[in-house]
Amino acid sequence: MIRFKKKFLVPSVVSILIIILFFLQPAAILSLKKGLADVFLLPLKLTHSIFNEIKLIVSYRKLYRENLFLNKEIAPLHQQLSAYEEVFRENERLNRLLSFKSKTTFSTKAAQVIGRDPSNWLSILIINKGKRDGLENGMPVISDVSLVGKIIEVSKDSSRVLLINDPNFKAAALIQDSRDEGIVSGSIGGSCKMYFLSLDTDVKDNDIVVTSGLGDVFPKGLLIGRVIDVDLDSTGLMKNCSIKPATNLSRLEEVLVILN
Amino acid sequence: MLKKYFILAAIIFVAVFLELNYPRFLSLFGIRPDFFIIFVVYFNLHLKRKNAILFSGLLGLIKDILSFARFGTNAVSFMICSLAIDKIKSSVYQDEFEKFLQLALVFLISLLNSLIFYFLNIKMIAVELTFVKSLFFIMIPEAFYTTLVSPLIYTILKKCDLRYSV
Repeated sequence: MIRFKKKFLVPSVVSILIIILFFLQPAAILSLKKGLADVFLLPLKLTHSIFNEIKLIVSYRKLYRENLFLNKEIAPLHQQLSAYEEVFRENERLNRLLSFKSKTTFSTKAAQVIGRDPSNWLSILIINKGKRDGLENGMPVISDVSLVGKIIEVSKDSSRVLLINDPNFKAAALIQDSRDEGIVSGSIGGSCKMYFLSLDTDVKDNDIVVTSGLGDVFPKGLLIGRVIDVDLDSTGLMKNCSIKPATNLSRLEEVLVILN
Repeated sequence: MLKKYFILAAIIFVAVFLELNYPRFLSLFGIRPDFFIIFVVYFNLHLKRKNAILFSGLLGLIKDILSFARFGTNAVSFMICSLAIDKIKSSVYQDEFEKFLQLALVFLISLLNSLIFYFLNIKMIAVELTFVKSLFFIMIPEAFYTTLVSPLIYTILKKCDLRYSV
């Protein structure tokens, strides 16, 4: 009996503790988990910054040439910019006169991708900015091109981003040309689908899909991707379309979090 | 002895690093190998029983800390997997078929781990992911892919030579 106890004591106690934690999920444990995640992610952040430095050193010559070339390009662009500035101000004045609320400008926070969720069930990114940088749950995340996802968990120095190709992700969207509305969600295999399009929609391949702004989660007009296939849903009452995200989600290194 | 534990800690760090920062070309149709499972099988074949269960649980806890999934899922799952490996090992394991059994174990344990994960996180998993869809599009491809990658990891780990010393 004593031998039995010795043999199974440690695994049994550990198993019971884990099972209790698993079923109760107390808030204290969950906040401890967030804190510990920050600690575990610290070496990863360090490794990332070392890799980035090495990348910079390796690409020094290329960057130098690029810099010279871009400097030459800047001069005429400055002139164009001042002309556009005038148009922008005029547009602002006219908008104010018409009492239009500007929804196109938003402040962003740049963040680096430092990891991905260690499971094939979830498409989640881990970024190196958290509560300390003003990030909150539900904030939209974009790349330099398009919508990437939204924040679902924030700890002090890191956050988790649910990507648009995760089946749990949902966003109100519309087809830019036909203005048909639907819901964009992730699907198996890392692509996206737009659901609930009406039967008479004339959506076709290569149409651009953007956020519709409904629900106030995502600002209106954020690019999501392009339609690559249209089909009927299983009931035959609606149309669905497959979307190729504009950003390659498996190669993301930097993202922008929309703060307001 | 201390050196062996140091090697073990390094192995765990590498596992975590690979899991969070896997090389991007490794992702096929959104599926990537589960490096943790490869290490769990390795621990159970090469460490003493008690330590194997303990280290598997520890690896599971680390995965839980870094994952969005329900806390404790991976720790529970890895410990069950560890006990399963122990049972299989004691009943069918033979040295002459070591390589084949190692691969078979990785496949079976990866599948078992996915099944446990699915049922413990059923509330979190999207409605679209039915059991059959999950089985054919996530569980089996993941188990197959993990099995395919495992010989490479085991070749590297062989050089650590931790056999029953920890």
